[in-house]
Amino acid sequence: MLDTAWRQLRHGWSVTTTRRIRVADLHALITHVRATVAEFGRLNRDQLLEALGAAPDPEFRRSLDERRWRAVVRKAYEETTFYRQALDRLGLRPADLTLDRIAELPPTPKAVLRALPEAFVSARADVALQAFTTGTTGIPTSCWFSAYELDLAAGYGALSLMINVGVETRDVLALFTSSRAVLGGHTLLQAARLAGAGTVVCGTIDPAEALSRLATPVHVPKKKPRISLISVVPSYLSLLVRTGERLGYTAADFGVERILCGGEILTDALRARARAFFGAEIQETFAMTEVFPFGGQVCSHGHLHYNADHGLVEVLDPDGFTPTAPGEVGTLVITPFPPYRETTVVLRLNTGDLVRTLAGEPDCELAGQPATSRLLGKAALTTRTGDRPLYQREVLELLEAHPELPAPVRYGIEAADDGFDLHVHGPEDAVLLAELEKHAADAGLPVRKIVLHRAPDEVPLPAFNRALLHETTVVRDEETGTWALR
Amino acid sequence: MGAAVNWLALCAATAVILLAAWQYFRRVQVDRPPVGVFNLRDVAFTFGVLIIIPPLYLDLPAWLVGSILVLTATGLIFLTTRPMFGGRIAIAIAGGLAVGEVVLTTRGYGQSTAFVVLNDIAIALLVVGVCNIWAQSGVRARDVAVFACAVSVFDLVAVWLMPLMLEFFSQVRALPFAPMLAVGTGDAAVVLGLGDLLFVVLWPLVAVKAFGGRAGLVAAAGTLGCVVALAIAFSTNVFTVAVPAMVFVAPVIVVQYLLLRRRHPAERSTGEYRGTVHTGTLPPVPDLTAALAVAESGNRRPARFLAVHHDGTVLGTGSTPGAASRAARAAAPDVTPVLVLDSPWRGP
Repeated sequence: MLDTAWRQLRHGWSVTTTRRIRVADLHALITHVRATVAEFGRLNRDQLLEALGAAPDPEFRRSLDERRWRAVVRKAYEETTFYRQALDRLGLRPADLTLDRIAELPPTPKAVLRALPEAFVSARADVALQAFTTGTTGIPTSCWFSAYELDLAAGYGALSLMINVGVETRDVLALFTSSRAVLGGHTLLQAARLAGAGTVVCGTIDPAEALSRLATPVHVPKKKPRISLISVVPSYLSLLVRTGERLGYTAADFGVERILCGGEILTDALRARARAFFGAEIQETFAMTEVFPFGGQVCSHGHLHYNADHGLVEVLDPDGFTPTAPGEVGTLVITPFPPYRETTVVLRLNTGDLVRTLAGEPDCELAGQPATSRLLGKAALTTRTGDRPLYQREVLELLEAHPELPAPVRYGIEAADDGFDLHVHGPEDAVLLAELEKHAADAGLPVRKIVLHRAPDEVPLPAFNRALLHETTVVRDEETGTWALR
Repeated sequence: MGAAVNWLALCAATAVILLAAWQYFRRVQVDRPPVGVFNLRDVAFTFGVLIIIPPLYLDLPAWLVGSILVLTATGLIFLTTRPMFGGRIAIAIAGGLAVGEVVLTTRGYGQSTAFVVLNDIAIALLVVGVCNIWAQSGVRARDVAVFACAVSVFDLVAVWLMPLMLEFFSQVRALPFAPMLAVGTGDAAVVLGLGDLLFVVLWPLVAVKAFGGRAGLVAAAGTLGCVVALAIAFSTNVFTVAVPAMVFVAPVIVVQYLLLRRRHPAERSTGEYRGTVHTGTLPPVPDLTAALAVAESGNRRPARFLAVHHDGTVLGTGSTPGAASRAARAAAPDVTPVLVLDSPWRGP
């Protein structure tokens, strides 16, 4: 108990002074959380979440952000090629660039990071892993990470699993994310290990095979008899739900209690269907390789809350990069802070993710953490007609509410002067088409016409998703004695 | 009042404190930090503090030692009484005791009967509170046994081999919240040190939690028995000078712990004691023997997945684990079968 207090104190000191965090302290705290659960039967999560959700004093938050901002600017200038050049060109010295003058440094476009990631790598870094984005929304971007950063992220991941998600040592977690998504997968795998949970890595395999594995009992000591927790991206989740419904599975075939879902837009329609199908609680998260380990989670009120300790989040007008007014749409600009991020250093990275700022102060369990709406879509993939943009979330909400459409939904948008033409992969059914048009009109979407295409390849300008990163498995048909790649 | 009667009263007072602590343990849940269990590291730290305090106090001015005792004790008494009486009454009790003790000692009544009675009440509340904080923070019986051993060795050295503890007690006995349970005044006074009293009370509470109510009664009989035995020894002049009580209490704790461990293979956790754990809901891992036997004897072609009941009944089959699982659920919805692949295979 005193050891716990001491470790917390030392961890807090590192966090406030931006010194390196002792990974051993984090691991000790994880051990103590597990010991607490083992001794008292459960964790007082309400008490912990209340503490995490409590709004810190604004002055304290401001001074902390100022200190961390100065530290990351100094580090970026002294240790990276890109920012030394950028600040020199702008005539800025690191000491001059305070938080008040942050606007003097233009946001860093993702394209620069994509073009030469090594220009952002600290000269003092001990790199361990180069992680690539999946590339479903653009050319893959890569970032280098150190073993320290990976260990730290796994440690915080374990604490988050235990405190936010309620994972226990008897849980069994299945990863239905692309095996190539190493950064997220590795972190979750290590986090689950530290939390004491069992893990099954499945990947984005054939959904029928995935459901079969989910339905298979787990007969190992001290673990629940079925997989109790899954990590999945929304597009693959929709594939699982749709395939499961088709094959006649019900919630009783599984033991899934919670679903961790993130990496893409999770619509309300899919959330409701997945919850009904699996009978599980869904926890939506936000993370991206470029700003890792900065992340966020969606609260019960539907706000996306960001971990302000791990980075500075700004919502800026996508064109002029001025702060977005309350209730307006802007692009997320994120600066991950040391000591959590120290290898690939980025300042004010324009993520290209669009969100709406909240009109008022949030009144939810995570009110202490900064929040916006959930992601609306990518700026680069958002088409406009006149002043009216059409966000990916709007389209996905429309399409995923219709189970007649094949999963994952495939669509493309063509903009015209008087509206959008929405091309969708689906059966050429007049009734379905009429329903889609009616629902689009009800939602106030400026859709001029909807075209259903029987073959997915016929959809023009298609948007990609991660469920398309299919990983094959060899399957033997015992009836015929043949093998197939599925 | 003679010394023998005082010893009898001291034994009775100790028993009352133990009973009060036990009732408190059953009825009141003390506030604890959301993360952390009182473990061996905490024991080591507490032991370190215990070693440092007596010589430190001897070198500090009396007013400073008195202030530290008042602040610490008042806070602990408030925390102990608040769950039972609420904040206002707890403040009144803690504040009243503090004011009473300070007034009596500063006015020169530090050896009076009134002070002894007031101090005994304060010590009783302190012991109830501290023992419950430790016991309810998940301290394990093993750790208490280790702690008791360490303190007994320190007591042996500090009381018999060095005059440290005697000097310490002579300095603090007239200070507010003097760390001792006393009966009588002057030459007839009999005293049990706070540290000794803590172990006399703590061990039964931890034994109840770890091994059950009967073990708690045995532990209480053991530690109280030590106090009674010491009282008899002093009353009959077997002992005529101060003795380190922990030298007698600690072996009892260790022997009882070893015997209880033989009887109970594992200590209960606080959650198990309070019935807040759900290990009972985790079904046991089924016996896989029947499923293995079915698979070995089958050797069907084409190979199928079999969902096997623990008695060897095949509840469902399918070309995939999922299909077999679903077939089994249709046949026996409440059974979690063992899935086994019935393929050409022979065991050793």
